[in-house]
Amino acid sequence: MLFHSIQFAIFFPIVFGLYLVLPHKWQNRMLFLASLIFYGAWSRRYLLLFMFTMAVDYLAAMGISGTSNRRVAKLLLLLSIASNLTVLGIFKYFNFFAKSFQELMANFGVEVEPFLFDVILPIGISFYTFQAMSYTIDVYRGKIQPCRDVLDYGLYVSFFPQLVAGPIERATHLLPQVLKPRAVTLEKTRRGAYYFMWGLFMKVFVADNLAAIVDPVFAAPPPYNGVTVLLAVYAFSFQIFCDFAGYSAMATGLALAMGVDLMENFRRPYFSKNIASFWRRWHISLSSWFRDYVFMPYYVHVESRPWLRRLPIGLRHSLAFAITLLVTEYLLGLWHGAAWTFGNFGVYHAVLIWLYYQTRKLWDKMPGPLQVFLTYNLVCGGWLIFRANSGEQVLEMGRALLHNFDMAAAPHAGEIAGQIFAYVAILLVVQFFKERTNDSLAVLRWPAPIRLAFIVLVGSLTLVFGDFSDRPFIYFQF
Amino acid sequence: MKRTDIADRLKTVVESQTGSVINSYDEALDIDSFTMMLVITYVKETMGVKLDVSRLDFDSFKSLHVFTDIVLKHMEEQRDAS
Repeated sequence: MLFHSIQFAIFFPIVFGLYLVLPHKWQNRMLFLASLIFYGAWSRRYLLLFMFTMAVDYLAAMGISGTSNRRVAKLLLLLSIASNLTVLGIFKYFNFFAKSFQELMANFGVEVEPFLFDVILPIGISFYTFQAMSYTIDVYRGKIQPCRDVLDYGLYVSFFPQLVAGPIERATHLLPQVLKPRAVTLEKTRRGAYYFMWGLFMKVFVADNLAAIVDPVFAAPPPYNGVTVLLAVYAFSFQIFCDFAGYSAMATGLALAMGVDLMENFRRPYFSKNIASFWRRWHISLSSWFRDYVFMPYYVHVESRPWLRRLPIGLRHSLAFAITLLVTEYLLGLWHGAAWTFGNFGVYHAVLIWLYYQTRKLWDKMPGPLQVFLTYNLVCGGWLIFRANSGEQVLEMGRALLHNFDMAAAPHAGEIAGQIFAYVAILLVVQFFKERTNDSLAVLRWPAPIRLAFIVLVGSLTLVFGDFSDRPFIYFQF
Repeated sequence: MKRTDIADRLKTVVESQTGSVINSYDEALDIDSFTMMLVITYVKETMGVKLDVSRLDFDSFKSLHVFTDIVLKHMEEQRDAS
């Protein structure tokens, strides 16, 4: 059930209408049921899997808080993490690693026929398993008390606006909002409507129209022209941003209308002045998850290794940081999908972040706009790796960018560049104002006539030129 | 170790790492993970205080004031435990 589908246009008003008339406790019950229906609309079969992981995490958290024995608590935590990772491993990664092993063996002339699961990826599995894991980890760390009511806990994990593509909420942020009565106000509904409208515009007008430019380039066989590749990569940078940030904005809007404040997931990432800052602004809920639950504990582990402890503090820190960063970014890359290109995407960013920290006193001296421009182009290099269908395609396209940049062989380049600009122009203007004021709701503070004109323009473009086909959100595949 | 000593030493580390100037202990620190982990290592190495990273997040580094409080709290806990 896509947010911009007819089914959702029927589903949400019913849910919202019931939400307005029910008391808090029954709001939660109804929202939990609605969330299960929402998920069940994608796949009824995987609803059981979803409820199984939910039950394991709920019981593990209750057990952790109910014991004073730290070893038992740790065992329960490991059980919860293992069950989530096992589900994720079986459905998302098992076949990939089995096939990779088969290919590796074939290189040595050994034929193996690995066992493969006959499954499709359950939608949103990477999002809800991470959200569930953060809950049990935070209970173990004593950051939160476990939720006693299984239905309230169920709502925390399954809250439908963010269930299948995030933001990956933390229990410390979302659970208190589930447990306390929420105020639905006209102001929140107004803001929610704006977020939804803007998210819809980003998705169906910008992202889906840019897909028509990007997809044929990546579907074509080599040789490539560097001009075409460059335009496709620039277009993809906005496609993926608008696809994902658009979903997040719609999720934020729907939640806000019901008085729930979701965490900010994108903070104008293409205005970042360096690559480290980019990761503090892009998919914030995921990057902060990896930072808090993987990067920080793993850094402390690496830094305290005996072979590193003999080194001077600066060098030790630098080495420990590089190792930790590489591992974390690689895992973060693989989170996106079971393909080596995603792992390489992570490594690419790890190297860039590490290089930035080694040279930042020089980098930070450059003029701000130049930093933004260079960072954006470095990020685009990552998008090429991310979007390419294989490592070979990355190399072919990279080669074309460096050695076959032939304007004459791309007669429609100007027209395509014009199309890309037409799709992203409004986005850039709005992002610029938001960045300047550091306010994601800057548009709502514009004078009434300008605001009205803006809403009419964006609404018209969405309705007239938006792609309302069944094209799913890119991040659904993760 | 006095509170001001700790804050001054942390200030020196953050300033030398980021190249920025911190004018007050309450000033918002725009700290990154590289500097954050360096500070954690520095505190352990030079002050003998092992910070529990599971209790830290970016808010712990909101300002020198806030982070100094956290270091002091860990110091007290480790003193009590020994």
